[in-house]
Amino acid sequence: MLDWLSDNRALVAAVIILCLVSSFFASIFYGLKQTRLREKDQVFGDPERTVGGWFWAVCGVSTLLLVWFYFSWGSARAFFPQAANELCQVAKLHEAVSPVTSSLAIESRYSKSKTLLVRNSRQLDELQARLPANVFSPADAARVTLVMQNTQQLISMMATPDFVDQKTIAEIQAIKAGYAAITNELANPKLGWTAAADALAQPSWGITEPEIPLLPVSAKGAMYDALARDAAAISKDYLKIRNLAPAAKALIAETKAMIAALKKSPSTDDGDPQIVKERADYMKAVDRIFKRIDDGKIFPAEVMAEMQVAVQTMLDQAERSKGSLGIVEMLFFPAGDIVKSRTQCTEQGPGRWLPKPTDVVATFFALANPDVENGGGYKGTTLLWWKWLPISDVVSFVIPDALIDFLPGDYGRLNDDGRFEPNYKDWMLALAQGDVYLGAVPMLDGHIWDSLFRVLVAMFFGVLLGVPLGIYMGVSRFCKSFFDPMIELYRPVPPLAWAPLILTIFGIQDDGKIFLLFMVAFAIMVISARTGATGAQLSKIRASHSLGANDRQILRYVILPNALPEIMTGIRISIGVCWGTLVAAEMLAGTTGVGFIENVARTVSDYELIWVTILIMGSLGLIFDLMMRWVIGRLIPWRGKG
Amino acid sequence: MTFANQQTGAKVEALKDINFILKKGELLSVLGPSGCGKTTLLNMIAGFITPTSGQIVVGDRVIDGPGADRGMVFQQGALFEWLTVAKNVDFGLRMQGVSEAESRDQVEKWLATVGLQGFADTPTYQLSGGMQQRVALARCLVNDPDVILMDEPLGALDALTREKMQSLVLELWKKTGKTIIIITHSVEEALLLGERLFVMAPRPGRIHKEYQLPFAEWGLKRSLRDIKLEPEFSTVREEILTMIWNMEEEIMGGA
Repeated sequence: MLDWLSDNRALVAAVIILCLVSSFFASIFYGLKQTRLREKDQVFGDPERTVGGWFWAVCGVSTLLLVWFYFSWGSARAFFPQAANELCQVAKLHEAVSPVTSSLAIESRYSKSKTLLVRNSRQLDELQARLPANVFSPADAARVTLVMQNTQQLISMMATPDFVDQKTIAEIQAIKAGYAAITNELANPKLGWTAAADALAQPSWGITEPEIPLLPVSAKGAMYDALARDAAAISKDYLKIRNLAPAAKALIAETKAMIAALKKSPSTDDGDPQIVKERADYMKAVDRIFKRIDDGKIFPAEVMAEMQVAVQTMLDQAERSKGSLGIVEMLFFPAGDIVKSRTQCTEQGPGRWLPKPTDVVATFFALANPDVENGGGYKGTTLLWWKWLPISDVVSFVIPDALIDFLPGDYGRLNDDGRFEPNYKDWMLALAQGDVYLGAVPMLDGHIWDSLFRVLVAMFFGVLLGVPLGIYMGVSRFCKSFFDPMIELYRPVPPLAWAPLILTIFGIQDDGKIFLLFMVAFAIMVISARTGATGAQLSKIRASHSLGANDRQILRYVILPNALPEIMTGIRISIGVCWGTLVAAEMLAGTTGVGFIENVARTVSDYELIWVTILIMGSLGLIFDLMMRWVIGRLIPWRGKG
Repeated sequence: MTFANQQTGAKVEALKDINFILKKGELLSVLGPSGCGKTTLLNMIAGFITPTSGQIVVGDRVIDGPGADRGMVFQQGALFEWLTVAKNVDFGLRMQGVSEAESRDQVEKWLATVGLQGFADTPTYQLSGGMQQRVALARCLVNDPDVILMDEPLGALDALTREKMQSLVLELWKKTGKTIIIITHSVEEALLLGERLFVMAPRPGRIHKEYQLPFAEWGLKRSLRDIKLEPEFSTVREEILTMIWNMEEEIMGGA
């Protein structure tokens, strides 16, 4: 069942989207009707106006989910499952002509040739200006200058249409004709394109990696795929063209010889290594510029103009030929693009970092699968499950080994025949060390439980120690003034600033994180209990004195219950803060926990998993808070009514 | 008995040269303009404040701190809102370790006396202001104190409830025979709820004038509204109002 749902995510999404759209409109319809009914009774600003309104909650949730479906391209996948594949084929065409487009002024303002010319001319000028006369003999200096002049001449030769070889022009014409032919085919597609069998056998969009099936599965896609291959061949030819007329070739040969001679000849006539080095550096710079020019890849813009138009026309035609696909792309693939890189087609934009809701659910179920041996859970740990916890583990944790040393008697000795005879003390030690099997109890297990456990233990100790101290700080001048500086000094430091220190001292296992969280919970509990204790009405305290209560009784029966609302609020706040701190602490170190999963998912850019962990954290935080609200409502119904 | 209240920083003479003896079962009301030290006087009798000089004696015992022998009723009830009515009322008994069975009878008796039968298990925050004050009265009475101190007990109630509660106070006074000291800023209430009446003057707080009044006795038999219409009542009322008015004028003029 789960597998079927997972394999048919597009279909499931389509059903969900239709439900969402209907509930969106239904809730608006119902909400407007309700608003009209109540409008007359409630003036603006009446707090009653915000009471109730579940239909707007439905509307809000539907809107959120619909926006999610839309921007994650989940609706595109639901209703046009082939569109991404076809767009991938179009992207192949773009990739095929990318060597041409990147060298011409198609995707940029200047053509590559122009950029090269401008940059090299400027560098030549700069080099000429700082010709070091003292390291070259006058004759050499003249020859170096000549080399640079030749280079400059070469540049101007290549930028001049008249100097371009007829053969080169013919080659460019052939390229142009090739692209024009593709344009023609795009404009008048021949019929009969079909998808190959192996293409149809590909997994559908988003079910396995890579995300978008690469081979064309539709007739339109097959056409783009075939034309992209043609275009790639033409682009390959284009890269072979060189702008080297005979005159240029002669000049290049001459200059090359001069550079070689200059590099070699004068280097032995003086022994000053400094001068030798400076001369070599300068010649290297001259040579570097020359070598950028002498491969003949600079073309005058006039010669390329027609071909540029041909490429541009072809790409425009490719866009036009998309037809309905273009409309789908515009409407259902917002804020991003499908890009073909060497081996795969990928979603770029929100389709990539905002995973589709159904994919997130599928990832969650894979994660929640407790069968760790068969791909469930994460990194060998389930998400939330149970295990048998040996009682001996708990016993060995609770009883320190050293306690056994204080028992009367000695540990067992070796017998005369060399055998060890343990006595009762050895057995006790084995018990304290957890070596005695005492049966096992079922216990929760998994990443979520590990996170919860840390928070709960820290909260337990935070409340246990923080509340009494806070209450005493509320009633005793000594306690207040003595402990105030300590707590107020450590409390404002963000918990994460403590984390490196605490984790170093206590280690990356549970103890460190629990202590860190305890620090957070403790400070909040102290402050809220103290506020609650000092907030007791004087008349209530006096009344209890008059009723004959002693100090302890007043503390227990008046001040404590009076502080209860603040204490509960403190618990609610500190659970929230602890939860936030915990996830960050788990990201820093550890091998289990929800934050750990997210941290690993981050390193491998698993966006689905990142979102799953974010949603898990959000839901658990929400559940905590709802539980606390319920408890507060039950425990202190008098809150705010005293 | 002379008291002076020492406050932090500057010394302020809150009360000066106050001497009086209250007989058992007397009903005393204390009236005066705001700031004349009425509440300070009451807090000292209750034992919340220690006088800088002089002493207060209840029976034959010098007062040293608060105790269950002097019950106190506050303006806002000062009920424990986390407890039910019954738990509020038996608070004093519980603190003294009285058995539950015994205290239950007591609570029922006193709740009936103040007219709150059937409200034993109601949370106090659900009660109206007048009912809360009845609970406060019952809570005080259940402890069987020698003296009952009331600090503007009816000040926060509406006029109608207030009148009913005044009758209740008189009724309880008669029934229990307790010594009661009531502080109030309402002249009518002071007249109705005082066998003896102290009018206090401010700066330093002192007893300006003392009255012996018959209205409380009358009030046990007649309706309070009738008494208010008596010419004798209005004469005293006008006299005291003028007195307090002049004091206020003096304060404003002097300030």
